[in-house]
Amino acid sequence: MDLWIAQLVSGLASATLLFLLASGFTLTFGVSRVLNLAHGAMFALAGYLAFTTSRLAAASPAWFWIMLVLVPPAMLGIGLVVERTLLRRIYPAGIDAQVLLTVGLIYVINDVIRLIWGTGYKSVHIPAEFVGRWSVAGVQFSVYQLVVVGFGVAVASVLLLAIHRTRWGLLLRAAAEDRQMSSALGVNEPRLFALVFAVGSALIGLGAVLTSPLLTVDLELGTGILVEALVVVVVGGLGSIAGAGVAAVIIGLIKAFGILIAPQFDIVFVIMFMALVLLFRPAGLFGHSE
Amino acid sequence: MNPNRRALHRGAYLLGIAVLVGLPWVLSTRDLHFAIELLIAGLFAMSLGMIMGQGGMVSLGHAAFFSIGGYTAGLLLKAGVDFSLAMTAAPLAAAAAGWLMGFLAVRRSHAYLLMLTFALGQLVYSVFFSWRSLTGGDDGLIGIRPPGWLIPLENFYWFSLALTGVSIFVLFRIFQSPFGYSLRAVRDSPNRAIASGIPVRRQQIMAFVIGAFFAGIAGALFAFFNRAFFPGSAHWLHSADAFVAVIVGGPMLSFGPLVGAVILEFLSEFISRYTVYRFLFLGAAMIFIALVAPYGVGPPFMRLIARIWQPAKTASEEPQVPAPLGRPSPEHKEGEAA
Amino acid sequence: MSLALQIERVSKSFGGLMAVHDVTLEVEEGTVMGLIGPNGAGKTTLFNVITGFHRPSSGRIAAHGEEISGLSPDAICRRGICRTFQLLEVFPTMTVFDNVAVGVLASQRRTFQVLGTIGETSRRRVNQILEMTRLQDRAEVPVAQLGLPERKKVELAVALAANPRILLLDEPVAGMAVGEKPALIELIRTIQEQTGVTTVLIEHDVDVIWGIADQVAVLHYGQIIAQGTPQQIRADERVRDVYLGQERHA
Repeated sequence: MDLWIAQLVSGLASATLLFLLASGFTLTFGVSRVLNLAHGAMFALAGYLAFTTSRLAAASPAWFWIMLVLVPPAMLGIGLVVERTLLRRIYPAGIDAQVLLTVGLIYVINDVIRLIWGTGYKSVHIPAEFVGRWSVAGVQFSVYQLVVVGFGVAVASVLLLAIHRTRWGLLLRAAAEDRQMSSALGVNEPRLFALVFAVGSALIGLGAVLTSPLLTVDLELGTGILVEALVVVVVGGLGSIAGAGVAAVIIGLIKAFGILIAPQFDIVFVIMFMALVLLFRPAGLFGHSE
Repeated sequence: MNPNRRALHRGAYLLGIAVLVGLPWVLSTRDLHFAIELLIAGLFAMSLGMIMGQGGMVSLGHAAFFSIGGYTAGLLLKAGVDFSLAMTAAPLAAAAAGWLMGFLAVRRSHAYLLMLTFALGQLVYSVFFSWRSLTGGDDGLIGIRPPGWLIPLENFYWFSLALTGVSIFVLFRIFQSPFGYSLRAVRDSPNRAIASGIPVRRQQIMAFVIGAFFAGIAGALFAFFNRAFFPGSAHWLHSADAFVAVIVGGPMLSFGPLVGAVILEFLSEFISRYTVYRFLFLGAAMIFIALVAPYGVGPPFMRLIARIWQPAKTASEEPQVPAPLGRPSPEHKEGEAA
Repeated sequence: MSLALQIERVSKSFGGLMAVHDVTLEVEEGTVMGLIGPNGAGKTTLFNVITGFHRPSSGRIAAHGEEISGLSPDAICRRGICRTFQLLEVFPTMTVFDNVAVGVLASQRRTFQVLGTIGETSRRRVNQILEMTRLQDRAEVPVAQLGLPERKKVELAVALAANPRILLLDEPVAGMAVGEKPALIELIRTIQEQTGVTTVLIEHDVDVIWGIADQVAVLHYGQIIAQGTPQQIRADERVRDVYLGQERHA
C-alpha cells in the first residue's frame, strides 16, 4: 500500500512539472502558432540557473526561496529576448522555419551550457524545511513532493482563473480560436505573443526550480522532458490548458506506475497511450476538431 | 536543347562521376572518411525528401528508420547471417516501420504530424536505449564485422558511392513516376487530388514507406562503416539533422536535400576544425538561415545554376525553377474526415 | 431518359446549424442543372455532400442507380463524378500538362506505380484534354504563373481528365472580370454538348444560368424552394422575392 501511495505522489509531482511545461508550450502554440522545440533546452538551462543560484545563495537558510524568486523572472527575461529578436521574425514563414530556428536555438543553448557549466551533472538539495516524510493515518508521504504538487495546483488554478476571468485571458482565448478575427478587432498581436512566450518561459523557470531537487540536472534533461511535455500537449489537445492539466496527471501517473512494471520502458507506455488516444480522438482529449 | 549542349551536359556528368570515383586516390584517409559520412548523410536527407519535399509532410522521426536499418543489419551480421541478406533485410525492416509510422501519422495538420513523428521517433530511441540485452544500450552494438572485401577504406568508399548513387537514382526515378506526380499533387492540393480520385492517405503512407526504406539503407551503411551502432543514431536530433538539411537545401527541389546535407556537413566539419563548440556556431548558422532564407538556400542557388546550365535565348525560355511554396503556419486544425 | 443523379431527402447539419435541409433533387442524364440561391444557402455544402467531403446527416445519394452516400471523395471520383471548387484548387507548382496528367493517371488507376513514366497513351489523352479545353499552347507553363481565367480552365481540364459522367462546377466564373466570363461559359457549353456529360452548375451570375441550364433549382436556407425550367424559375414569385428580386435593386 505504501508503495502505491508513494508512486501516486511521485506521479503527481511529475504531473506538476509536465503541466508547467506543457501549458507554456500549448499556450504559445495556441496563440502564436509557434512550435518551440527549444522548450526542453530552455528547461535544462533553467535547471542549471537554479543550480547556480542555489550555490550562490547557499550561505542563506532561505536559499530555496531566493532561487524561487530569482529564476522564473530570469527565464521570463530570456524568453522575452528570444521572442523579440528571433521568433518574431519567423512568424509568417511557416513550420519549417520554426523547426530550423528552434533546433538551432537548442544547439546554441546546449553549447552555452557546456561552456559555462561543463558537461558534468549538477544537483540541488531538497530544502531543509521540506526534507523527510509526513505520516498521515499511517501512510508515509514525501514532504517535498507534496509541496511540489501543492505549487502545481496553485499555479494551475491561477492560470485557469487568469485565462477565464481576466481581460488578457479573454484576448488569449480569442486569439487562440480565431487569429484573423482577433487581429481585425485590433488586438495588439506582438504584445500578446510576447506575453504568452514570456509566461511560458517563466513557467519553465518555476518548473525547473521546483523539480531540481528531484532530478539530475544535465544536458539530456532537455530532450527527455521535451518528449514527455509534447506527449502531454498532444494528448491534452493543442491550445488547451485544461487539457494539458488532465493529460499531465494521466501521463504522470502512467510514468510513476509504469516504472513499477518495467523501469526503463515507462516512456514506451506513455507514447503507446498517446497513440491510443489519437486513434480515437485525433485532436487530443480537449483539442479542437473542425 | 541543341545537340552540342546535350553533349556538354553528358560530358559534365561523366566528368563528375569520374571525379567522385577517383577521390580515394587524391584524398587523405581523414577526408575519405568524411566523404563516406557525407554520402550516408546525403542519402539520409534525400530519403526524407521523399516525405517532406515530394510529399509535403513534415517528420522529426526519420532517425527511427535509419536506426532500425542499422541495428537490423548489425544484429543480423553478428548472428552470422550472410552480408547481402543483412543488407536486404535492413531497409525492409525500416520500410515496415515506415508503414506503421505513416499509418499513425498521415492526414494530420503539420503541427500534430511534427509532434507525433517526434514522439514515435523517440519511442524507437527509448526502446533501443533501454533494451540492453538486444542492443547493448548506451554502450552500443559493437563488433559488427563487414565482409573482408569491405575492410579497405577505398573499397568501402566505392561501395558506398555505388549504393548511394543507385539509391538516389532510384529515388529520382520514383519522383518522375506516376506515383511521384500524384504525390506532388497531394502536396500541392489535397482537395484537388482526392477529388480527382487519388487515394491521398495511401499515397502519403507509401511516401513514408519509401522514405523509410532508403533511410534504412543509409543506416545499414553507417553500421558497417563504424563497425558499431549506437542509440544516438535514433535520437530526434539526428532526425533534425536530416530535416534541417532538407529545409536548407530547399524541399521543393528534388535534389535540394542532397545540397542541404552537403552544405551542413561541410559547415559542421569546417567549424569543428577550429573549435570544440561546433554546435554553438552550427546553431547560430541555422538561426541565421532561418531568419534570412526561410525557404531554403536551394532555390536561389538553383536559379543561378540553371542560368549557367541552360542559358535562355529569350525571356520565354527562362529555366523554370519551382517557386518555393513554403509550408503554411500550423493554422489549420484537424480536418473532418475527407 | 435515365437519371444520372438522385438526391433523396438529404440533410446536413453542423452542430446546431442545418446547412442543407431535406433536399430532393433529380438530374437527368446529359442535361445541365443550374443551382442558384443567395450566399450561404447551402449550395457548396450540397456539392460537398454529393462528392463525399461531408457525410450526409440523413438521406441518400445515388449516381446512375448506384448508391454513393458516405463514400470518400476519391471513391466518388472513381465512380465518375468530378467537381471543381469554389475556391479554385489546382496544383500550382506543376505545369498545365502535369496538372492534367495527374488527373489522367488517377483515372487510369496508376497512382501506385513507382517506376516508369507517364507513357505514350496517357500523354495522348492529356493532349486530347488540353485541346478540348484550348490549353495546348500553355502546356509547359507552371500553373502558378497563370492568371485566374486560365487557372479555371486548368481546373476544368483536371476535372475532365477523369472522364466523368457527372460534372459538378462550383461557381466556374466567380472572380472573373465580366469580359472574361463568356469565353469560359462558351467552352463549358461546347464541352457539354460534345461529350454529353451531365452537368450541375452553381452560379451567382443568373444570366449564365439562363443561357446554359435545362433545369434550375433554387436553394434558400438549405431548402429547395423552387425547381423547373429557367422560364418557370424566372416567373416564380417566391424566387423573385428571395433572390432574383435583389437583382432589380442591384
